[in-house]
Amino acid sequence: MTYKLAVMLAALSFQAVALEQISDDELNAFTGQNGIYLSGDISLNEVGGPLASGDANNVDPNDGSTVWGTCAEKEAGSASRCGARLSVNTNSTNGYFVLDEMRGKMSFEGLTLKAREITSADDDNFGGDVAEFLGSESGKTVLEIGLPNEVRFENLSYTIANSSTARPTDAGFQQQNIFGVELNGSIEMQGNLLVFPVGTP
Amino acid sequence: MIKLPVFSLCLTITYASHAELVGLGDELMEGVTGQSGLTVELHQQTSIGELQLSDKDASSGGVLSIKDIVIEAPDYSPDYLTDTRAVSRHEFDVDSIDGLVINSTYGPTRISLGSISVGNHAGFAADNYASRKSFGSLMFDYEGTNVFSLKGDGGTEYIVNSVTDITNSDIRWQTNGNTLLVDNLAYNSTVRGMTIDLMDFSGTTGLVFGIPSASYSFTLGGLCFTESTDCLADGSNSLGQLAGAIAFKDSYVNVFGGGRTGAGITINSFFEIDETSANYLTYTDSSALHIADMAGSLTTTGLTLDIGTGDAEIGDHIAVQVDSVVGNFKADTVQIGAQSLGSVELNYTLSDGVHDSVTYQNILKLAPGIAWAGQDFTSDVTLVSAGFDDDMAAFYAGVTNTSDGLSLYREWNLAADFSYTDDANTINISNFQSHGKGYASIDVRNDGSESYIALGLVDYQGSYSIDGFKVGKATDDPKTNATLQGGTELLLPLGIYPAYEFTINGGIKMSTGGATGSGLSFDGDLLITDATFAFSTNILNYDDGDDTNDGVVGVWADDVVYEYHFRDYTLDVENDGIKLVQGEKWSDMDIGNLRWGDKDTGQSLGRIRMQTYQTDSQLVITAGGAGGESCLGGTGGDLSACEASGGYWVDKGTEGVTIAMKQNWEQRSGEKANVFTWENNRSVDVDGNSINGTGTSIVFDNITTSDGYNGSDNTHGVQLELAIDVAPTKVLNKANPSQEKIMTGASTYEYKNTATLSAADKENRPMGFAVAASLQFKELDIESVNLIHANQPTIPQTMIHGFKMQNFNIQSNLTATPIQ
Repeated sequence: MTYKLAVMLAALSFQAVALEQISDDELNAFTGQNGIYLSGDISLNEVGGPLASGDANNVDPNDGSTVWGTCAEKEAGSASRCGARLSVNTNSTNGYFVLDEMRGKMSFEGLTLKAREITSADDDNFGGDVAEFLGSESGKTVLEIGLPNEVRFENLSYTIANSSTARPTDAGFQQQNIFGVELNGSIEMQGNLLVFPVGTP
Repeated sequence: MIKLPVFSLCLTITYASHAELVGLGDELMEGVTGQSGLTVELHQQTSIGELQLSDKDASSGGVLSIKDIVIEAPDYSPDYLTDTRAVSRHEFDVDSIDGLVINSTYGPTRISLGSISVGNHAGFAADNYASRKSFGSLMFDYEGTNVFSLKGDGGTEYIVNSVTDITNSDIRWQTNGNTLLVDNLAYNSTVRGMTIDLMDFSGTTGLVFGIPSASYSFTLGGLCFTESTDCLADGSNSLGQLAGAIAFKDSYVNVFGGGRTGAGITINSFFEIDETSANYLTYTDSSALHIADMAGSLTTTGLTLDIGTGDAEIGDHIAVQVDSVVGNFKADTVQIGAQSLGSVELNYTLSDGVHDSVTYQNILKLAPGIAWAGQDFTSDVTLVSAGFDDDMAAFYAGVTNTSDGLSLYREWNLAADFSYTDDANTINISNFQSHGKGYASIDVRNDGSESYIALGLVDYQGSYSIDGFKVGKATDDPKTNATLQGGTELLLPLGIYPAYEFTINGGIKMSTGGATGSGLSFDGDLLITDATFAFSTNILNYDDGDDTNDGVVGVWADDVVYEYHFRDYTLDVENDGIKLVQGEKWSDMDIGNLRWGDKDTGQSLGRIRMQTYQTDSQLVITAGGAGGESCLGGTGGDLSACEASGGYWVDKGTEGVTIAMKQNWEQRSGEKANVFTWENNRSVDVDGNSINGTGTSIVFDNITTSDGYNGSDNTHGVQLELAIDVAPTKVLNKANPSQEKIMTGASTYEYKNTATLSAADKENRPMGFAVAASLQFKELDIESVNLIHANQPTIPQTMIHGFKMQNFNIQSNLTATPIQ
């Protein structure tokens, strides 16, 4: 079974220690510092992966059909798979947990990345928590990932399954799909994700 | 007071010099009747036992010794068995226009320098120079012509014109019986109107060479290791072919007596490339790397030549030091094969500088012999701690205390700006700074199967850093006007970092011949210690007008020990690309602390250790980036369809650079394996430093690639391709995402509503550093993921018993601009 989810989340923001709400004035004041403002897209197996229908041993052990191919070949029925596959064996004897047929495209505008020093002057941005964050330090550096204004998903899909073997071409392969997800739409975001070390190194 | 160099010349001629005047027959006499000049034909076989050059005085200096100098015909000359003399013919003439004119023709000639040494390395005649260390022997074969004229200008100057053509020239450098041949060199030099004068410079007299016009060109047939006269004749693999030409205008060289200390030579000079002449450099392998349309100038101040004494590692030496070198260089044409990369521009300054309270100068010391020959390095705590002392001892076991070779000390301090322009858009690498110092050795050896250059590095400390990138249209001069931004983060998969400090020890074996035909081959073992490098940096208060409060924070790999071994590496230029084939590589990068903030004291995430083992990997650099028009951030085959999907249409032009990398991650073989470890909660020593191996680790063990159907076939590996361009990009107003940034000048902009942008507005979108990436692998396996506790290091707790990723094809199009 596949669930199709159309997602449109407006102004997704979190109030947590590692997420920071920034005012428009403060955003404009960042001009002239290092770091990067990233825009673009990332796709996964948009037309298929490097495993090709002509590969030797590219055979379903159960029915002899071709397993891997391009997505055009999959749509034409001449191959059964074109997405990426991740299989995890959590114990040494029994089967695999699988993320299967992963495909899709994500585009975004305004993902920022930079190392930033947090000081007591930033207290307003953290609701008065900076003193606790800094402790005895006058400043601490975080890796600031500025969330993009908008993230668009196009045919982002995957299937969650259990499998008897890691590869779909391995002898004895049997797989039970649990559910699938397909994601289209966009998410609007504000705020920063701050990443920093804690604890004993 | 005139202060001239006080080099003294001592000639010890142990063989009679055979300069010979040849009688002219009647027919020849008739041929010169009525001419006003004089013709001299010289047949010579000259042998000089020792030539000494000294700048020694009461408190400094030393002696440069050149033994066994021979000038004769090359041994391959047809008549060498019966006549070993080199023949040259010189026609002297004087006329009212050119002054003294000497028209010379040189038959095949060989100049041999049997042994070159300096100071206390030169040995003693009493023991027949048994302890002498030499730079090796040099042999220079040539033939050609020279037309030289000299006249006065009626005042104090001499005016010199010279045209030299050298052909069929070979240069051989031989150490320990092994020869490096620079093969089939042809050379032309044309100097017009050079003036020679003595001039006063604030009380110091200098010998001034004014060079209004000079041009040089050369071709090099090959470079290889052979005893023969031809790199190709005996099947030796060659480095490839070189050809070049350069012309200078309005240049000068001023020479002063006195070196850095006491006697010696000091030189100030200025050279400017004459853009009206064809300037180029071409390296040809299977394909060609071509740099042309060059411009620039070079000002050198306080270049001194001395003979120094008593360096702690290499002893007496030739010392070359410079107060400053200020230069700029531009090449409008850079091509691999027929494909253009774009153009490059470099501005640089070498001058003294202080870093962390240590002064770095620009010094090169050259000493004969191999200073570290036969050492076992067991007293070097750093090498012993890393288990690398055996590698160093093995490298230097190939030479002895009296082996020929070159030991050197290099110290430098450099600041530079580098700009790369493709399709009229420029990325500037801002404020590149590098300094360092260390020792090295170079000699030619033979391991029984082949000859090679052995390059050793001993405590070679270096560092570099950049402020970041500046990107814009070339016409807007982004180096000066654009806003500083990051972007090196996109190049981290290539091992390119915005800052790096390191100390290297190790040995590299370099031979000629690539994977196919000519090229370069090398093996090596390197240890990098005391290393810190940055994944991302930010300069605080960068543009507030006060440089004194600037500070750098970032994410750093600190306390790094990096051991790197490689075998069967080859470097070729072929098929419009530069190709590095990596036969076998195994390495261990142990990051003691992954820090946030200050590079030395910032908060640590813990220890990260990355061990790699690869075979048959490769790195290919090709000209041309992503190229052409495409839709970024959306889908669609044309502008309207792209914009309708929320993307924007961009033309990345035809130039740019593409870097493709393939890595085959192999199964564990002994201690060679691909393993990723993160350790934290470590104990600390008395100084508060974390002790590796005392905490809790999560280990991703035996990470391998395969071709997808079994664990053994492994030809595809991980393939990463980065196409790098400078291209327009869409930058939204963070405060109002319905608007985007439109440039109104080199550094000025306004925000406009995206929905109502005109075509002209879209043309003025900000330029970005654009990287189109492709990552593919057929299968990537992790054998297990384990937790290891310090009290039970041999009993890992397995969290995951197998992790397999198949058929991954990740494509990304990202553009980086300054943060808004």
